[in-house]
Amino acid sequence: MIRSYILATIACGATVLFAGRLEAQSEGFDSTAVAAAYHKLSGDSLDLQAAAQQSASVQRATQFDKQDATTAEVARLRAFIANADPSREFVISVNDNISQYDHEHGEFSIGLFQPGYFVPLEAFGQRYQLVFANAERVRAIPMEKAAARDFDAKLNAMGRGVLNEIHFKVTGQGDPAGAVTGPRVVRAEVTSSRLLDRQGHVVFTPSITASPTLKNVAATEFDATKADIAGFRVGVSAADFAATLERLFGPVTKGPAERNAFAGIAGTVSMNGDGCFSYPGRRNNPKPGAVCVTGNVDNGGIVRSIRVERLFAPVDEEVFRKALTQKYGPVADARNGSSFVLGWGPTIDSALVYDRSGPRTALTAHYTVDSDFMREGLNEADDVRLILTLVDAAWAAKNAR
Amino acid sequence: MRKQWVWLLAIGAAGCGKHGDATAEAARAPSRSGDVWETENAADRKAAPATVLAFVNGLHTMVLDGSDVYAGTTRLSTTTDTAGGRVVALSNGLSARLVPAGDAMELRFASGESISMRKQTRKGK
Repeated sequence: MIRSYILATIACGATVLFAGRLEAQSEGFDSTAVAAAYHKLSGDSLDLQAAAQQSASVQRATQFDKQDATTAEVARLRAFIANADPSREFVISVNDNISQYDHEHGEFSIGLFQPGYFVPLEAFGQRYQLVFANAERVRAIPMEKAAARDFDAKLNAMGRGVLNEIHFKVTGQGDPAGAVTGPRVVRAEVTSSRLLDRQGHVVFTPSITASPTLKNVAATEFDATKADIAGFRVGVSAADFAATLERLFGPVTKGPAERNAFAGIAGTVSMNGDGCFSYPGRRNNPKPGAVCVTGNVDNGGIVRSIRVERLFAPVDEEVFRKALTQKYGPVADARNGSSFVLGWGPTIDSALVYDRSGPRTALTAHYTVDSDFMREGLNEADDVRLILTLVDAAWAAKNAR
Repeated sequence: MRKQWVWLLAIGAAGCGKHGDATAEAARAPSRSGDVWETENAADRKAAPATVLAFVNGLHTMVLDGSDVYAGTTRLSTTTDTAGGRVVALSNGLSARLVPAGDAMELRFASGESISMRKQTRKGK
C-alpha cells in the first residue's frame, strides 16, 4: 500500500456551510495520483496539453526543446492516468476539530465529516475538491454522558484540535449529497480513520456505521414513472390526481396551460395554487403546514409534471438533504447558495424546469428560507419552504420541439 | 360502526437500489373510505425534522384504508406484523412505525424521528 500524507488546516467555525474547506499545505502528498484515479474513474477528461504546460519538465525546457518536452509530457500523463489504480488506498492527515457535545443525540461530531466540507487539492495545475461520500457514517463520536464529560475535558485541554488520519479510496465524481459543487469534485470513500493528538496518541477511532443512506443508485437507473415526490407520481390520469388531491388536502382548481408551457402540456390541476408563497409584510402569509400542489396535464389527460410545496417551521437544511438522499440516492446535480437545489435523473427541457438557475433534472428538491422582514425584525427564525418537482422525462423527450 | 384501527406501521426494507418499490404502485386515493391522517404540530421546530421526513415520503398527509396506505397517488401495500399492526415497504430501506396514542397515532421512523398524527377534520367532509 502506498501511503501518502497531506497536512491541511480546517477552516474552523466556517459560517458558510457549503464552503467548508480545508486549505491543504501539501508536503509530499501525491495529489496527482488522486487526480489521476479521479479522471480514470469518472471519465472527466484532463486537458493534457494544458496540464503538460504546467509540468516542471516543460517549464524547465528551453524554447528550442519545449515542443518535444510537451509531447513527451503529454504521453507520460496519458499513460499515468491510464495506469492509475482505482483500488489504491491513500492516506491523508488533516488538522481537524471536534464539536461540542450534542446532548440531544449523545455524540460529538468530527468537523471534516460534516456535510459541505472538502479538501482542496492541486494537481496538473488545477484545483480538485476531495469529498468523502460516506462521511456521515464516520462523522459521529457516540458517547454516554458520563464518559463524554471526561472526553470533553480532554478535548478542551487540546483546544479541541486533532489530527484526523484518513484512509480512503477514490470512487468517482461528484458529492452524492450535493453539498459540494463545481468542477472536479473527487468522490472518495473513507475506509478507516483515526483521530490523533499532537503527540500521535490515538484519541478516538471512528467506526464506519451501517447506514441505508446514499445507496449507490446510478443516475441511469432513474425512472420518473416509478419515482414519486411526497407520494405523487407522473403518468396518472388528471382525474385520479385531482380526486387524490381533493381527498387529502381540499378543493382543486383546473386551468389552462401556463404561457410558454412545454409543448404537449394542455392544462393544470392545482390545489392551493401559489398559496405557499409569502409576500413581505402581508398579514395572511401562509403558515407552517401549508401545502400547495400543481400538476401539468397533457392533451391526453395524463399528469406529466408535478410540483409539491410545503412550508415548515425553521429546520436545518441537512435534515432535508438527508431525507432526500435516503430516498433518491446520490445527487446527480446540485446548486448551492443561500438556498439550495438538488437534482436526480436525466436532464430535461428547460421549459419544464421550475427554477432555471438550478439543475435541469427530472426530479428536483428546493430548500429555501421563507424570508419575512417582519419576523426578522422580531429576531425570529424564518420558516422554510421545501419544493419538490418531478417531470415525466421519457414523455418530455418524445415531445421536445 | 367504524373500526378504530390501531396501527403499527413499519416501513420495511425493500426496493433497494431502485427509485420505485415492488409494493408501491400508482393509484387514486379512495374518495370516501378510510381516514385521512396528517402530521400535527406544524409550527413546532422540534417536530420539523420528522415532518420533513414524512413529507418527503408522502406520509405527512395520507389515507389509511383497510390494509392500504395512500401517500399521494402512491398506494403502499401493507402486511400485518406480529403486534397486530401494519408493515409498509417504501423505497431505499427506510423504516418507521405508526404507534397508537389514544385517538392519535405516532409515526416513528427507525432513524429516530417521530411525529404525532391526527385524523383530519375538514369542513365540508
